[in-house]
Amino acid sequence: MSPERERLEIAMCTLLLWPAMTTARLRVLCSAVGAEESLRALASRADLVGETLVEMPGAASSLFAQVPDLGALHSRAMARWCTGRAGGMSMWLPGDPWWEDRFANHSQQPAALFTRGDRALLERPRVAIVGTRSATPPGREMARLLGHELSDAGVAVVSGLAFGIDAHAHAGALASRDPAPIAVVGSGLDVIYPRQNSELWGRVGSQGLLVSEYLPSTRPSTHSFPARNRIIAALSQVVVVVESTDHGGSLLTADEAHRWKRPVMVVPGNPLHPSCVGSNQLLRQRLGERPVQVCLETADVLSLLMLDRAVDSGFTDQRRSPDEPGEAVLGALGWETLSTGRLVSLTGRAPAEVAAALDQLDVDGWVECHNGAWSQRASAIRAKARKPATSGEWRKQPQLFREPSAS
Amino acid sequence: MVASVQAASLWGVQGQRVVVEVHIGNGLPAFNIVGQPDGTCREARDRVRAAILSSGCAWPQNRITVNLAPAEVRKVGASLDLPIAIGILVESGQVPAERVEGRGFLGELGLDGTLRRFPGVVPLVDSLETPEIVLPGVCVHEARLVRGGPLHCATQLREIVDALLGTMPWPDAPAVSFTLPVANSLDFVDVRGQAMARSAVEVAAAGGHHLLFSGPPGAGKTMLARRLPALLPALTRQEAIEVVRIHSAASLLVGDRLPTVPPFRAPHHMASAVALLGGGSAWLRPGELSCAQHGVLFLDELGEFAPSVLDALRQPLEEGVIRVERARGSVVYPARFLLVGATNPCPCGWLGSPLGEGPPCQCSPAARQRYVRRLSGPLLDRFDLRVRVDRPDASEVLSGAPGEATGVIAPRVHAARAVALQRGVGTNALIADGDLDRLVPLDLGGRGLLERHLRRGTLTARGVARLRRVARTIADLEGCDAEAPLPVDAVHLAIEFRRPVFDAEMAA
Repeated sequence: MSPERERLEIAMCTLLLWPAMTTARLRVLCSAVGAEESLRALASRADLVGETLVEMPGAASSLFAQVPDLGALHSRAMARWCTGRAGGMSMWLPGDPWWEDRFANHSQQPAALFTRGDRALLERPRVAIVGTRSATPPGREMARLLGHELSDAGVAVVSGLAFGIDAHAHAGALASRDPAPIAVVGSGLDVIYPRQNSELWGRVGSQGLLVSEYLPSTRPSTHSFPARNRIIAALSQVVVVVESTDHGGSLLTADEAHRWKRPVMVVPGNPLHPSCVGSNQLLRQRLGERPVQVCLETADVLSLLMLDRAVDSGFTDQRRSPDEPGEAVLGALGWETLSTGRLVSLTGRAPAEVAAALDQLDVDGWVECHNGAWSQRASAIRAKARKPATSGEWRKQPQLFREPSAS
Repeated sequence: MVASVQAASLWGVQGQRVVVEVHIGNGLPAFNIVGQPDGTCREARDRVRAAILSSGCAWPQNRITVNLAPAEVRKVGASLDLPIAIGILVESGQVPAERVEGRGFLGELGLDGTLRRFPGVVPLVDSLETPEIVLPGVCVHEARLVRGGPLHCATQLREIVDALLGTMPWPDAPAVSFTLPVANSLDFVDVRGQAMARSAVEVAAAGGHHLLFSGPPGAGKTMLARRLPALLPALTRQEAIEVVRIHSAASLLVGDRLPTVPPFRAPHHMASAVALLGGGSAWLRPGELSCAQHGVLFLDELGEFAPSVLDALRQPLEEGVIRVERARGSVVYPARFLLVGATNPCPCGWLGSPLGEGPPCQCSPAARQRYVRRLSGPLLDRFDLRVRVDRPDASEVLSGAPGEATGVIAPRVHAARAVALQRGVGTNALIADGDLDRLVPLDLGGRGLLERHLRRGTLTARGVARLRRVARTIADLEGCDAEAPLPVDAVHLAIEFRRPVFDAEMAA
């Protein structure tokens, strides 16, 4: 790393720590005079700052309301930057490769990003899969399936590493032949949140790309997640909402997608289930001014990306067909969530026989057990075999798809 | 001259013999009790004085010193009121000393000289080795449970004084018949459907495996648990005495005949750690865990208990005893019981229920996590049988065939328990790790199944060991050959019973 770059990055970190600094102010300052000059101006030339921020009333005065000790601020920034470097993070700044393509001078673009992992994944087609944290079993399965199949088709799956849909989309992507998960998180890249996803977090960091707008060691806060959603929308070409409650954060991601002119797709859900109410409302809006498309399978997403002719997802149901008791149990289970006891009474078979059938079905991937209750894995809907295809063809024909314009 | 009277005081669930020595000497009128009396015991001064005066005896106007020997152990409770009063009467010459020799005295006094019941009758009577015991009439039925020899009783201090002076005969024991209500009306016939839960209860009773129910409100978790004690074999005489001893020390009601049905204790979820484990500053009362000795401890709403209280269960579950260590000394309480836990899957209770059977769960993932996190992994691990219980289907409730009756299930349980006894272990849950390969052999099929789960990470090595004990019980219940390898069916069912009822990973 060149000394100039290092100075620039540390100056940027210092600016991020400046009291009352917002993304918008920082972006205006940096684009007008550059990071290092902005820092000097904040330290000594109030007139230059005032001139630069002339279109943002009150911005300059609030920045000067509390002038920090520059030396202390600089050493704090330096410490955070060193933590980040030691943790394998790097900074992605305006002017770096892919920045202009992805953020294209949008008014809401971030000022600087921290990344860990392979930034070249941004070259790929990118699809965001977002949804509620309290997902239904079919919703989880759909997220997993979309993540898996899109990754198989060479698409990078963008999500937020939260519980529920996010986690399952990433888990699906990581299970594919060519994993390319991109996670945008609402905390510093070394602050794992939620902690329960720490394994997933590590795998995304090593096999994909972690992105954050926040300095290393920053704890998540309530406003950091909505802000994170806009970066998810910005980095993707299509945003797929799998399930959302009527006040879910994924609705905000859909709003951001409209703002960034990214097409939104919605997986329809059970109208009676509270976890699907919000996403279904998005579908109802499709006739209004915000077009929303229906996503029933991976091919729908691929066709929107104009990848359908070049690449087939190659998904084949390779599960072993269930044996006779397994068929009986699957038939009794249907698409409900049932306890083993209920299955015993529905099938009229002995508990041990039902237990054996369930165990085999679980191993073969037909059913799953959550909180002690069984549900059928939704990929069973797609039992029809599809022709296997090769992935990676998009690389040979990159002109086949066009990015949705983002200006 | 010093009068001495034999008595006893409670320490944990044991009685300890105490000699009450009384000395009346010259000096200003005073009444002191030495020998580490606790608060209640020290208050005996006022009760004894009033009781002696209201019984028509004289109160010596001298310096009275009462020593409770041995001096280094603490004396608790009011059971020493009567011996202190008798000691004073002897020392002041109102009762001849030779009449109290060979007699032990126990009892609490009222101000009017009435004799009252005191906690721990059974252990205290048991610890006295005097040929005769004098105690309040209301305690006689309890004392008879452990003592065949002569017991004298009275309702008033005056009656005892008269009997000791020989002016009146000993009063007859009151003809109380005090029978505890037995909850024998609870029968498994009333439980409709619930095949897995029924099977789990049967396995729990036969093998002594701890059991956890999870399910929405109204699924019948409590109903199932309350019917469990009737499946356990009747208490032996020795076990019954142990139970009665603990219940008496804990001041619970004790009937006039040894219990046969194992105890069922269901403490409320607001219970403190001391209430469950036993202890307390003075008396070291046995807790609910000990009261469930040889029976069933049912913890309803397990997720609502304080996490510290739940974690305190772990050591007793493992060792079968509770050690209460206090600065003044330590007590070991027995605590070998069958633990049955019941919990909702989430704060609202409806997580994982079939759609349409209740309101869909709207708990936030964070709320669910908080709820589940209260049950620590190590505690959940001790439940060998975990069953998800749903509300019975409407058709099962209204027109379904009645379930198997307790009278049908119990003999199977008893037979399986007998097989375990022949094996040389109390119950299958107590099979030592080293004996697993000998007592619970696996064939290729069973081995393959367990290996598959170990490789997938759905079972741990410890889990497999516990699972094999459960599988042994299932096989015993089916009357399988105890020497032959476990049938694969039993392994399947044991695996199903071990499946977690809470999602630990991604909470959704």
